[in-house]
Amino acid sequence: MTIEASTPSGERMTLNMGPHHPATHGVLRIVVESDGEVVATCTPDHGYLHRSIEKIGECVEWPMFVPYTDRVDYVCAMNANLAYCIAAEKLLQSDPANTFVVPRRGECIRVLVAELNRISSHLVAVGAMAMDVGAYTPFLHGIAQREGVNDIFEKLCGQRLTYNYVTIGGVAYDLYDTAIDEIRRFLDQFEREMVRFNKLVTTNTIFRDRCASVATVSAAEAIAWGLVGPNLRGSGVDFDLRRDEPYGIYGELGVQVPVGQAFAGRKGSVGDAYDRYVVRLLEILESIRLCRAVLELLPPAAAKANDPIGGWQADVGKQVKRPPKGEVHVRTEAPRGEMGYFLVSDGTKALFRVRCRTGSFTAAGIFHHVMRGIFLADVVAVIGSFDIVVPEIDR
Amino acid sequence: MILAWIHDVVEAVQSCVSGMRTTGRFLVENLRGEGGAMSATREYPEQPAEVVGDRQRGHLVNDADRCIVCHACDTVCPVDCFKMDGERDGDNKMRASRFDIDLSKCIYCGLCVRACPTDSLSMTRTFEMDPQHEGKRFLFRRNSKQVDVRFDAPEMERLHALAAQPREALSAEDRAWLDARIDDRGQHLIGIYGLGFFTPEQKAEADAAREAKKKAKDAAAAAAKAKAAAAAAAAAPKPASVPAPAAGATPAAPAAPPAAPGAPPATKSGPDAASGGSPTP
Amino acid sequence: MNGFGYAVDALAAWLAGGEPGWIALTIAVLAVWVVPILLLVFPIAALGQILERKIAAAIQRRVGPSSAGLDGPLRFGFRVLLFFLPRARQDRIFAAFCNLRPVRSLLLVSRRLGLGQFVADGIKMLGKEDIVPTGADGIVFRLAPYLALAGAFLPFCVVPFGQHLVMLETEVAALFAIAVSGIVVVALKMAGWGSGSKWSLLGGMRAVAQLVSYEVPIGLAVGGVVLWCGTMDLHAIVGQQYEPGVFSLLGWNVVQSPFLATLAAVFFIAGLAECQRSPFDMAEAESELVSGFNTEYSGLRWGLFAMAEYTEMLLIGALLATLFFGGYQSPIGEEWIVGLPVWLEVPIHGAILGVKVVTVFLVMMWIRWTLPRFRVDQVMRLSWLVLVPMCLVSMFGLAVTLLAAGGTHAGEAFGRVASRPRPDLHWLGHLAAWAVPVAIGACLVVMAKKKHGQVHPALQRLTGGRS
Ligand code: SF4
Ligand code: SF4
Repeated sequence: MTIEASTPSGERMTLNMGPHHPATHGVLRIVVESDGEVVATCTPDHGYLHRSIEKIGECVEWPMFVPYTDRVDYVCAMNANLAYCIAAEKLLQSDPANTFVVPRRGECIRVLVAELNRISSHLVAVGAMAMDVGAYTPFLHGIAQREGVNDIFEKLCGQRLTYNYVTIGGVAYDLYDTAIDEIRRFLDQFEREMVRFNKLVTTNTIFRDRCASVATVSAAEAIAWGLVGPNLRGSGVDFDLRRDEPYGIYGELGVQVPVGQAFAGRKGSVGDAYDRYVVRLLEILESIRLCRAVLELLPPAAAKANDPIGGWQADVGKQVKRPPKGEVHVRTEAPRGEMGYFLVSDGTKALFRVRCRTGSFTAAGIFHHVMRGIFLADVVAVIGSFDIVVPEIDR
Repeated sequence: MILAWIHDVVEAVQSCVSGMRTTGRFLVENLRGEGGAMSATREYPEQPAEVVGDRQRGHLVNDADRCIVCHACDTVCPVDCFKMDGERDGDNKMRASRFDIDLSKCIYCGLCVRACPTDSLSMTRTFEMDPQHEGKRFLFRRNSKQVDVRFDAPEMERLHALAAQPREALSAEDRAWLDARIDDRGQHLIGIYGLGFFTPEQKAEADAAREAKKKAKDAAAAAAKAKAAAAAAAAAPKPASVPAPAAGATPAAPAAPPAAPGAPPATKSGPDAASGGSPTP
Repeated sequence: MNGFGYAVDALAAWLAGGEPGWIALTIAVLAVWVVPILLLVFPIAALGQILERKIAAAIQRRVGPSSAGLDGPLRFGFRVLLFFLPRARQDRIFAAFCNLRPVRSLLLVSRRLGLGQFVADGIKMLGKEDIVPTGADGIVFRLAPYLALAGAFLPFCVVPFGQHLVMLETEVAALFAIAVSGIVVVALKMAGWGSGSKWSLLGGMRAVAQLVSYEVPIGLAVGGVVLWCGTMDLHAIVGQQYEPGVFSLLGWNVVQSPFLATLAAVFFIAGLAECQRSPFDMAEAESELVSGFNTEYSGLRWGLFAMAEYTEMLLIGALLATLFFGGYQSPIGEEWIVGLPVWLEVPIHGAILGVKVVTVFLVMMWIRWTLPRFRVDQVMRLSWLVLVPMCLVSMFGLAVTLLAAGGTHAGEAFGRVASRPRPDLHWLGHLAAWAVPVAIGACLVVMAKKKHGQVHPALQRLTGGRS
């Protein structure tokens, strides 16, 4: 539903949404110029959550930056850890003297936790979107389910939000004794719960009609604006780094990639808010499948349960006498799309330059384009549908 | 067109009804407490948060006996929480004469624990930072300016003991003593973590004292030895407040938090114990 | 009879000791109506708030209000009752009382249920600073909540609470109720405009647009009932739904004809919109407009708005019950109540109406915690393209049914027809009145499903195979 904003007198009202608005997911500020209920222009204003994380990366040593990657995107900290660690490993391995490899069990656990974290991140995304659209219950049920993942992570690494679990060269701890059972049980229960969640909100016609044909991004536009991840796939572009440029053991798992197909039926169009939303839900199902598949592949534990697998402290740090010079760019598929790390090393203990590329940033870039002519009420729904996590934008 | 209209209406009714069935089931389940569907939230201060797993990354604790002041933790800490001084004791082993962990800076990343070569540093399951939690008061207001002055062990014990009692029950003398160690907002005991008691004068005093101590140490190794012995002696009666500073911080907690993983049973209250030989305010 | 109902007449006559003058009448009206309504509806609306919070909590797997018990109010009560004793004595007696086992467990339960929450909330609201924003239009801003409350309360005048319990017996009661509740529109507009905030302004605009367009389906739904019953007098409408025997349920309008059932649904939905409840809470859409028209309100004024909302919910429930669900009549036969003395009959009828109202109230809450919010254009479309056509079709259907039953009542709609019987259909006629429209409707639904009913397989997968 798009209406051209037009007033004979050209009078417009400037609305300042955020940084403390109930629906702006943290501290995002959006300046909306509206013609009554219809948005004329919409300008995101970033920087309220800037913490100089990239600059910090130039001041601390390689492994000390891992906790900071937690804070780049605290909704999917595992994926953020993973992205940085893969980049750092690649850079270290560019020197043939550094012979360490990530143990296979470590690789499996990495994929496992990344997929679990994708589930919990998408739960926040879809729940928050439902809440923005006005349904409060699904959000809380999503959060309640997310607690299941958090419990697993807390047992795994001792924290519920900022995990600092994946380390350069491995993971910080092996799975705890009952982990596999618990994850299986959680997945089973979660799958059932998701059906109820979907009955409650996804197939609800009010919700569907609110999101159908809102903020439609065509495939060409999505590519042109640099959208990534579910936002890109929601527009019908079949691209997923886990499948197309597999890292870790993703290559063996045969990731199936859901893409937007105008799920809202005759009222919707490919690439609308509803498509992005449903793609996230389908990715949750895919993640459930991947988790199960990884649990099948998991090689038996070799060490004591509490030992790290690989990792800087265990052995990588001893093998790496001096970091090599060079630069590397690694892209991984985080819940909010491509999370890339560009690292430049000058051979010292601290990196010369750290740069992260995150999905929310480009998603926020397309706001002023897609928000023109939609209703004020849909602004929040659109923010939700792009799954903006503000610290990721500001860093 | 009419059919489409009818379909829309029917579909809307159907989906709303199915949604309401779902929430209705939630309601019933919750009221009956079925399938673990009882409330997922917790009334937090009354029902303490549950700590799952044994890898909890809570407040740090250092077993001062084992610490060799190697600064590995200091090096790896991304936010520079540590302040430590060491001195050689009788058998020429490094001991921490001062070991401060600024928990207000700590981001609980656990890197220091992973780095510690002697496993003396560990993380407890305590994460409570609410000064008013359970009526037990402890400091958690501190910035990097407020450093350096610590209580010695007997004073710490007295502090814990007094803090655990209701104010009215204290004798006038105790109350005065306690008041002198409570920050101006009147609620938060300072220094339970061995993190200091701070007025500018006291800081200056402490700095001077440390300087003097260093000089004295340089001057007479024998004096240093004696001091180390005194520190050990002062630390020895400490186990009253074992096993962790957490327990010290919440002395009257109904169930003392379990010992820090890897800590020996007679662990001293990390930073506090380490500060045994330091000047007192 | 002066139209103020039996109780008022009796009291006024007693006060005046004969033919009552206007002073006696005023006192009687105040005593019988205004004060009890205020005293009743305020706490009920306040309790409704707790109920809502508890229900929301249960649906969302939370705890809800759980600490404020009735201890405080009870202690206050003791203080007042034992004012002649010194405070320490009062406290000791209070403590002893609280230590009685049943009292103690009751207090505990009240605490778990958060029953004292509304007292606490009320005190909090009274104690809050009354802020009038700098840019606000003072008078308009200050006046709005009272108008909203008045608009919500006034229609209760014509709602029959029992055989002898109608404040204002008038031939145009239904019209009066709709018309008077229109004041709320003005109030919300005033609040939105007077606040001097853009969010409020938008909320106010939305409220006005929504309320005005939903007056239409409400009016049409009431019109359908009027067409069927041939009167606008709510008490007469209730009287018409009387059915002798145990199955008095069968006399209710909602089971008379599928068209009336449709109208009931339309009335309920439009009523939801009238009291700005989710899914029609665009005017105070929290995630969009911060809090809509009451963004800038605080303290007591905000409380009045909340109260108005809950009162209006009660009102919609009462009107729905009156128009379609037999009013104050019990579903299991009326004779046993009618025969009772007045002092028994009045509370029983009141309670029956209360149960119906609370049921509607609960359903409204249930809906609120289930459905997402409509968008502005969808709300309008729902009103004009769905509800109004439904009403028109239903009214047409009702008229046809009446014609088939042999007669029309529309001409007598303005006559006072309290004792007039319902349109008399043979049981076969009743059957036909249900069977024919339902059959036609079902056919249409099946055809529509065939044509448009395909669901995307991905969605089917998400909902566990079935959509
Ligand atoms: S947990 Fe992290 S932040 Fe805290 S002291 Fe250890 S290394 Fe520093
Ligand atoms: S705590 Fe561990 S790492 Fe830190 S100085 Fe002591 S021995 Fe070294």
